[in-house]
Amino acid sequence: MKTVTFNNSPVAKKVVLRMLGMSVDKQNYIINTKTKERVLSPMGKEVLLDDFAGMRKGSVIVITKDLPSVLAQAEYANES
Amino acid sequence: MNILDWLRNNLGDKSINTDLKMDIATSGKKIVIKNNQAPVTIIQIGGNVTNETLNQLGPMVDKYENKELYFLAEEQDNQVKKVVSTEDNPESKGVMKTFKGVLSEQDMLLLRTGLYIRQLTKSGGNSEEIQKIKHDVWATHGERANNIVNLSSAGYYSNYFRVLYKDLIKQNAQEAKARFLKEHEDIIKNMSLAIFVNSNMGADEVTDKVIKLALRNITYGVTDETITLHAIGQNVKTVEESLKSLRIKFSHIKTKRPLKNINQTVTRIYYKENSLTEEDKTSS
Repeated sequence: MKTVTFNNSPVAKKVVLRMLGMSVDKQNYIINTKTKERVLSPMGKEVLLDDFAGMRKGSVIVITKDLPSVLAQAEYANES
Repeated sequence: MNILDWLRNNLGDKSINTDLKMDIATSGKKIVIKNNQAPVTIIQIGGNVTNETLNQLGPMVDKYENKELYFLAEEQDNQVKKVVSTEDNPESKGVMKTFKGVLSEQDMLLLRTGLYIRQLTKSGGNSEEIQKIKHDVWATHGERANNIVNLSSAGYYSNYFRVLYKDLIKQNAQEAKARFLKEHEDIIKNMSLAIFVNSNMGADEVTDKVIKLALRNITYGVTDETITLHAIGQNVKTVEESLKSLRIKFSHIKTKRPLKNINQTVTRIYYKENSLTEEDKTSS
């Protein structure tokens, strides 16, 4: 699986989110732009823009910035 | 010709057959996409980042939808590479090999996080980075996860848990995993009031640590009733030696060997039933 990396600025994060049909609400939580529902992390938590580290397609899609979540994504990418 | 057509005509799939780096200016005025292997600017868009601009990045989204690529912040991408290279040492490889398939996948990620912190610490690494990793784990995954990371970074999976698991295998390989996981879970849940005795610790040091922890718990009004001493192998003797002094200070102490035929003890000290003196308080 290939990686598209982006720099860590809020602008870059918002561009990536917009590409993938997402945005942030007034409290800076990531939402699905169409449904306006907050997107959940693999841990079932709502995700702030600040904690957003990436996205992949699948049942669990938001990658949060904590190391275990990032390592989980790396394992997934290596297996794909 | 619009940018999307230009992209397809000039680069086609080649643009997304390798890892890509997307630099997005903080001013929002341009998007620059580079091929990581040959840093060539592929798209440079002036003006605001509009929906139209984003639509022009369609091929990338198609690849994403087909699960052929994913998006990852550069900082985290670099961190993963650093973690993987740091894991190339005998201790980390040994621990990961021992516990792969024993611990859950999620616990293995926490174990690896702790091992990474351990290696960073050993090499005099960046304390700010360590604190950030620990904070993010605690904030995202909670207390249990935090305990696993702390135990792993302090070397308990390299020593205590590894010895325990290997002893359990020797005794009964079929039951080893289940017995280990039960003991592991008990320890993780009660870790904030636990002391793991290691081979570098003498009996006096163990006694001193228990007294300090007891005084701290009393001062802060901790509701839990016991402090637990964990020992395995030769460290069991150290605890037995320490108990000679501890029994003078604490009237209620219970020692168990939870795993049959394993030289491991779990000693619970009911620290609130104590006869600690002013001298103990001032010397701690």
